[in-house]
Amino acid sequence: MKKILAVSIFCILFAAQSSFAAVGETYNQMAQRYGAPGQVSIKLVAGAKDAARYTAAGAKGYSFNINNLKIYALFNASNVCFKMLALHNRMLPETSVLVGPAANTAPKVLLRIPRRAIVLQYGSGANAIIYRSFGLPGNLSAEATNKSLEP
Amino acid sequence: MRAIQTSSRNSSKIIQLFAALSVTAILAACGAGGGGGSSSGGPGGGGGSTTQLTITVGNNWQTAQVETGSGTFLAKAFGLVKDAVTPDEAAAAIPSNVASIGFIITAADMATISTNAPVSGQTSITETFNVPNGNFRAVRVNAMDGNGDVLYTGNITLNLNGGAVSQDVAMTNALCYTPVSSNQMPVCFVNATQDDSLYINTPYVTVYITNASGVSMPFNLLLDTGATGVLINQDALQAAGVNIARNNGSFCGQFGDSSMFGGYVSNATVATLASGGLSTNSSYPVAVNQDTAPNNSNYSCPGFTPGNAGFPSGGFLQGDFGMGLSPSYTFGYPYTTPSLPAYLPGYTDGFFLSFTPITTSNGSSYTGSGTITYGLSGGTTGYSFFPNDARQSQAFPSIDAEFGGVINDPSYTPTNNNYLGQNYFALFDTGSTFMFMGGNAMSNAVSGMPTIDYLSNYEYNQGLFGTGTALVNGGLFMTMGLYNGAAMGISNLASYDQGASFTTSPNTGNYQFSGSLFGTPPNNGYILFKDTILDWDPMYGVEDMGMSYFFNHSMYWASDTSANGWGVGMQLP
Repeated sequence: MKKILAVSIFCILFAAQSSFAAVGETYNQMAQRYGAPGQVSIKLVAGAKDAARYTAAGAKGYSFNINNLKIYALFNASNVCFKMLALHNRMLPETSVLVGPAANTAPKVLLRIPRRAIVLQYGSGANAIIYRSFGLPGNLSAEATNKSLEP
Repeated sequence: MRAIQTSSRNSSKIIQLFAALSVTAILAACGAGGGGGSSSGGPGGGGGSTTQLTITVGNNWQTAQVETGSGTFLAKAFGLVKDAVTPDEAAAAIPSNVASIGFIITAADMATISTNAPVSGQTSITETFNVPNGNFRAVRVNAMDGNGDVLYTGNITLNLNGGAVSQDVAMTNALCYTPVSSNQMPVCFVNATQDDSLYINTPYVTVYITNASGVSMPFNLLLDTGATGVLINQDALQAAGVNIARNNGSFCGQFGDSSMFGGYVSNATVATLASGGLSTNSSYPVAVNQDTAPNNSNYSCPGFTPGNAGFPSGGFLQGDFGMGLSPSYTFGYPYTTPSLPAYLPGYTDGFFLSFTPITTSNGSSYTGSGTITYGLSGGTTGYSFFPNDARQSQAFPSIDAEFGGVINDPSYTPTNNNYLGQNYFALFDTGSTFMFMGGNAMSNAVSGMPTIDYLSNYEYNQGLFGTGTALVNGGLFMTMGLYNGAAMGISNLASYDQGASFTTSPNTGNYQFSGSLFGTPPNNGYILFKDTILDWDPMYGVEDMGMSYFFNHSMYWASDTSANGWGVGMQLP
């Protein structure tokens, strides 16, 4: 009975954890869940200025196929994801894809520009994830960043 | 610092002007022919009986707002006003720049009633009209300046049967461009609050859709170069008595703030944009937006969260008049259905947006220039939307973004200017009140422009978006200076470079500065625009140029391949 219970709890926890691929996860966790990613140029997804800083700090960029969207994930030198992006899509990804379980909490709205952009903060302190989206109908982008993990 | 403080004051002033004027329409029971007043025009059909309609402009607006009840558009604005103005300021019922009040009452089955009443120092204006009984009487009140430009406007639709009704009409700060020819479309601009957001100089158009009674009903739609297709809230259509049957598939979509829209497509009998008369009624597809209200049970889109509608129910803007042409960005129907030109028979010039390269007559290296013009007659060959050097494949009015001679990223070359496979471009977006410019672009474009780090630190210190968040690399209220046109080597730009005399509508002068955050530009500074600039370019590769501050102006865009400067200029039409 205990064994069944333990397995059940494990399955529940695993299932819950499997629901997300998010900022704060490791490369191995994401790769295990979504398969080997393709490596991408940080410069192409993060902009030249940030990319220079990221690259100098040993960051790497990969792309995963999640829910039929190409999701870019940037990992710091410790192979922990500090930024995820979904760029130029018709629809935005589920917020949980980028921010993980924090999506179940009410975010703090930091900025909203009607129909064009929004900036939200999930969590606080070292766990704070800044989520922002921007775009036009049919061409939408979103990004989530944990500043404390960012190089 | 100075620019930021000034900006804050200006924002308050805008809010004050918006709400300092309200209208109370009092309908008193009345028999045929009753009442007097100063109405012109007269009863037409309508069965011979009339209702006496009294409209007062300038009553204590605070009292009027209380009467509107909670949750209304005006009540939401009041919350802002309480913090923004003092009681003394609020008591000024009619702003001093309002010279006359125009009253217009229209309906399909009656002659139009209209009159203009000069303010002449009065604190309130009351007009009484005898209006034929009937449904869908559109009452519009315009507060105009000495030139006849509409500064504030409000409208309401009434069903009159002789009974007594008391209604408040929300007056919003608006400027309507008066067409100078019959084939130009009137475009209005509104300053308002909606859904807890401030709309500054937001352009809108009014389309008319025939309802079940055969009456053309007005709908205020955002004039949006950042979208394609015509989207109208279902509840607004229903409230106007428009029956729209579903005749096409459903659709779902999102805006950039993650708000949603969705519904189905129907053909509606649409007449575009009245200016002394409606265009010919024609059947056009309309994307009927069901995702509008917090309690809307008809929403169709997976993931739609009540309260997260792109166009909330009851707002001043009832939908989107997208001006893009790409099939990829329609609101719900395939691009093979009539596109925008079909919606605008006879009004093509009114929507003409032109980008005309600035002549580099003296051999300067300045390239990539353009103009954007609202409501001006610039089209000579029908509908024209894109700049001469347009990215014709793009849905929206945009040009390749060149700043300081580079395509945003200094390391990129002209042959390697892609961003995830697409070029950087600058979108001229009438649907955005903000500008989204990249830090790279700014620092490359303007000599002496603070680097993005400076902006971040500055923002951090100012706490503009929350203490210590530094969430946006930018987000700074700032003033940008334009180098003198002659100094830039752009001979014909100099003729437009009228910084000292430059004014913006609607007559607030809010955007005229004598200084600059970055010091005094050459020749005492030609400060040509101020806006909120958000540095999100590294993320998206798009410079989204919110056009709120550019309405009713020509906009000139110049970039400098020698990296000495750049400029955006404006000219009153």
